[in-house]
Amino acid sequence: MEAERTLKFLVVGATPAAVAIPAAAVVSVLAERDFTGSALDLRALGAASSDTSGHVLLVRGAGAPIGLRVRGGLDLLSAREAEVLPLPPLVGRFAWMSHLIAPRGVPLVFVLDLARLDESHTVGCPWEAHTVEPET
Amino acid sequence: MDAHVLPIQLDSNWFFIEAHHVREVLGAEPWLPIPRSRAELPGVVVWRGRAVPLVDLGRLLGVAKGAAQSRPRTLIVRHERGVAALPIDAAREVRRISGEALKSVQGGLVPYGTRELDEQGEIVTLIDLETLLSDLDRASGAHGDGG
Repeated sequence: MEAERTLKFLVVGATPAAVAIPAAAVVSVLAERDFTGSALDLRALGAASSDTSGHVLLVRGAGAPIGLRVRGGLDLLSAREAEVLPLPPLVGRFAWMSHLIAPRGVPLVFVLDLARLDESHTVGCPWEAHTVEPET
Repeated sequence: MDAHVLPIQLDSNWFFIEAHHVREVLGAEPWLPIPRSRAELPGVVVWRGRAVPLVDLGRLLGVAKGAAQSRPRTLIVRHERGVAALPIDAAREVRRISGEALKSVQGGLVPYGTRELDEQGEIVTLIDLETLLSDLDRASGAHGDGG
């Protein structure tokens, strides 16, 4: 019998305001102070976290990697494929989230819709791109 | 034509919804708030292995005082575009009501109310759930590209 696939995610922030990103799409994780360039400002998503540390995640899109500026602690999460549920368009499109991770049927964290965040598809994106510069 | 309806309670108000929409009546379900959510769509629950939007019916009908998430029952309904979860306070058994007893709504005070039943002075409104959820779907841009 074929073993069920396990998917890995990088989780930013603390529940219920945390957001997950497929780990396979993350190219690198940089401290905010070490990054120079443009990044989408997703810091509001981790707002419930008491950890206010800032990072920039470089994630793989269809084109060049996209910078995501985030706030809050970072954790790795493994979930069985059956626990990663597609979101209905009614909520998914509005929230720019693609899936819900629900271990044992309990909703835990949403997965960011990376396909829509690709540079060529950011029309209507709720997060603005800002230039991030290293601290001096 | 007779109607088969499920009486549901939101705060102190009773409404009917057509019974063919109803899949299950559950207790209070764990739910997750959606980032940047609209008040009418505060979160998501899991039902039978699928993510189901939580729809704040009380707010949409203009009767809600309490928050949707504090209601003790969750109604799972099917509509043309999928499945939705509606937090409610209570539900009674499905009733069969004769077509003559259900009158057209007078005054349109309840959004999505189509017909109403006078039960010894208390008016209970039948809600057009299909149109309500369809409008919500459109307003959320669920099938558009505008995000």
